[in-house]
Amino acid sequence: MQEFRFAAKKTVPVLCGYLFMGAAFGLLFVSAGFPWYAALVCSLTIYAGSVQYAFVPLLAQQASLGMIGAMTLLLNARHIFYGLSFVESFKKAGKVRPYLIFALTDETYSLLCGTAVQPPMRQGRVFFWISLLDQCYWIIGTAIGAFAGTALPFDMTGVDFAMTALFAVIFVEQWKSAKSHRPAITGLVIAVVFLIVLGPEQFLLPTLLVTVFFLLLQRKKLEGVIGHE
Amino acid sequence: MSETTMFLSILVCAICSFIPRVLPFLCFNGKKEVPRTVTYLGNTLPMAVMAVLVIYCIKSVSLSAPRESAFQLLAVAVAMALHWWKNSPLLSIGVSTILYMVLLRL
Repeated sequence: MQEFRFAAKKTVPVLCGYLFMGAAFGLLFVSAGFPWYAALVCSLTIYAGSVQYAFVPLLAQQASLGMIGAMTLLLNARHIFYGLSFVESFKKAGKVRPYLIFALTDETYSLLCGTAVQPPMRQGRVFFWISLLDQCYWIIGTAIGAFAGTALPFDMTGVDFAMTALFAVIFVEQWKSAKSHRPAITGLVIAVVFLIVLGPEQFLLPTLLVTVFFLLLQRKKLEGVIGHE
Repeated sequence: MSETTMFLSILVCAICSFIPRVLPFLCFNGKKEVPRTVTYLGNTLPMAVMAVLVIYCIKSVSLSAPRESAFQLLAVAVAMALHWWKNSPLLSIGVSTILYMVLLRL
């Protein structure tokens, strides 16, 4: 119980964010002509903000399964690096470990990173409650948006801007806390150059690959600044 | 679209969302030490990827739709400025999204 209360307190910022973002997804999804229950299935099984937003137009255009898979892998590839931080600590989580791995979103990741668990509280339990509560907020938000979208005859054009705003906000947050701005600038410059050269449809994958390459080139210099942790 | 196609698409999306999350746990299951290069990328890549994603979102900005493009850039600037100033995700995302939706209807 102590662990649950601790987790509930920790997750308040995510509660606000996820209700809003979840509702925006729910709205977007039903206003594209899909049923409300499918929106809930998405938030239950996919549970990835940016992916779910990008998924709506793909589904609406009846994109191929290959296209949907590729886009999802690309957008979520950054999660590979989130898991690395928790390879050790999740081992002690026991039965809930698979769920912790599944539910490791950007926001949950940042909460878990910033949470120091003192005994007698068990870290595994705290991590589990934080992860579960976050997903509950996301699903509740989705439901609110899906039902509001079905009930209200509003024109919701432009609501998808919430995704752009989310990325802009995370970008600002990372910029403020970063010890070096080189990685951010590297990504920014390469993205703009490739966008101009290759156009909006083709630039994402090459940009990510070249960004990784350039980050590796700057490794000696950057490891000195940000440390090895 | 049939229900089958829709749920099949959701299934593919769910599986492909899970793969990047589970991969590090499958590859580095405690026995092997995590290579330094991977740790380094883990520290630097998120910042770079977020910058790329911001550009990805405003990629449709073009001279053929100057009005929408201007609104989009303006709303992004508002979101960033608000967040720099107030540090509240809900406020930054909420205000900029509503602003964008209102501008589109002017």
